Amino acid sequence: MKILVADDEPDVRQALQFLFQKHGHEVILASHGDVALALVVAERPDVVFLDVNMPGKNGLDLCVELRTHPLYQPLPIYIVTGLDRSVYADHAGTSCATACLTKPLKSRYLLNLLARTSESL
Amino acid sequence: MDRVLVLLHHPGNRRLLSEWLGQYYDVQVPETEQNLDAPCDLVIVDGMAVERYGQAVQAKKHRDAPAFLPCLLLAPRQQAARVKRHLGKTADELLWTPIDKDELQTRVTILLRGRQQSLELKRHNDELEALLDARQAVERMKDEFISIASHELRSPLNAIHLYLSMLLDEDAGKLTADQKRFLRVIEDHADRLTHLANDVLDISRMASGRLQLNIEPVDLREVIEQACMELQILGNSKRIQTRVTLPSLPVAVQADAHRLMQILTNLLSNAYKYASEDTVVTVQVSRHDQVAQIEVIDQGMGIAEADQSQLFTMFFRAEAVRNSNVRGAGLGLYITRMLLEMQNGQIGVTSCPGKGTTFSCKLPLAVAQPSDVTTPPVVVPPGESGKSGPRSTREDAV
Repeated sequence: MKILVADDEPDVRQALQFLFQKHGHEVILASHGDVALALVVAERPDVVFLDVNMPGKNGLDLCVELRTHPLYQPLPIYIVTGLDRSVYADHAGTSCATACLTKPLKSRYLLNLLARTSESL
Repeated sequence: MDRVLVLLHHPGNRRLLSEWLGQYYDVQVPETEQNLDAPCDLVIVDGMAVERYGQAVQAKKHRDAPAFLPCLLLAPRQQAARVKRHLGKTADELLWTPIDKDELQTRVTILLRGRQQSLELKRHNDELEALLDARQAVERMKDEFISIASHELRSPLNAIHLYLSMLLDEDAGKLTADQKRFLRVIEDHADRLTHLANDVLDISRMASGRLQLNIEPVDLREVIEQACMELQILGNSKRIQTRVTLPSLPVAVQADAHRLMQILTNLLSNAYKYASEDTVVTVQVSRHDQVAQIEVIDQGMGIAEADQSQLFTMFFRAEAVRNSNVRGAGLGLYITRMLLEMQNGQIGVTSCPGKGTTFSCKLPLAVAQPSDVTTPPVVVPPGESGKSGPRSTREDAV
């Protein structure tokens, strides 16, 4: 699968790139919300991981914007946050994302998530 | 020096009072109405002045409030009917003319004493308010700090967990047995840090009223079975069995599904941590009136009676537990209790040292029971062992 990872932490981007590539996936990286949006349009990934707190558009707003386009409505979008999800409970992005994941994430969990995602594609 | 404002109609009387009082006080005799605004500690008026300047004096008193600005009214007894109505409004004290110098002195002294006392009180009040504001500001800063600090902790912890889990899965190459073991120790500590950061964040949110709950009907069977399935692994090394007893009809409670999971996770992980080897941990649900009761029962070291009353307070860990090699910060039960109370529930404990402990939680039953209940999806929180279980799906309880 082609996976877009948007996170402003370089170590996190590198870790996820290493992990996903090791398991046979193609990885596209973004460190900035606006760049992530452009890459979704240009690269058409199969799965998207969006960190909430990023420079530019934050992950939640980005999710809401993507969902306004019919093309991206079925796209699996995972929002990753360091805060309890109840903090963002009222934000539309929380309800339109495929799921909200709370940091810290473990590699096995992410790989299982990808496996389930690919089954449903 | 106290300032006395003299508003008397007759110039002769004005002169006399200035003479009598001028030795002890700063006497002001305004020439025009504008001078009425000058600050003073006592106002002396007569029958004519009170009619003419009554409103102005009342306004002055109002501006000084809550400090007391006394006003002394001098009038002949013949005018009693006319002037008495000013008492309590403009004038605080009344002295019949002709006045005796000593009596005037006494009344003035008393009134000024009242004024000074009220000023003292006002000063104290102002200080207290300032202290209160400062304290509230500190409280807010403290809450902000805790919130930001625990949030900031999650970022490096995220990177740590990612790299550790990849190393342990041998994604970066094969490991020796020792390397694996050492990495597991690091991961264990990273898990502890994560739980602590989560707990501290929860507590800070609760304290600042920012913890939001999503209360809705939640099917107990699903939440309990999921919790047991995820946590069973904690009891494996001690060969602990898990038994779940539910009523034949489904039970739904009015709760936040995510937080209910957190409560059960806390109670179950404690049960497994403190249970003795080769025993059974039981989760039992029962209904009483409009309340559901969930009991988590272990056959472990138990809790001394003296410790039971403090069990649900912050940072408290019972002595037996402190002396054991089971680790913990003592926040879990406090958070569990707060979460239950926020959902109109409660928690209690019964225990026998050496025999075991029962934690019982009560939650209100959902108005919609059996076939009306759909359980919201519960995403397996990362940071657990990460094993994949059956995904919770929406299903109608039958």
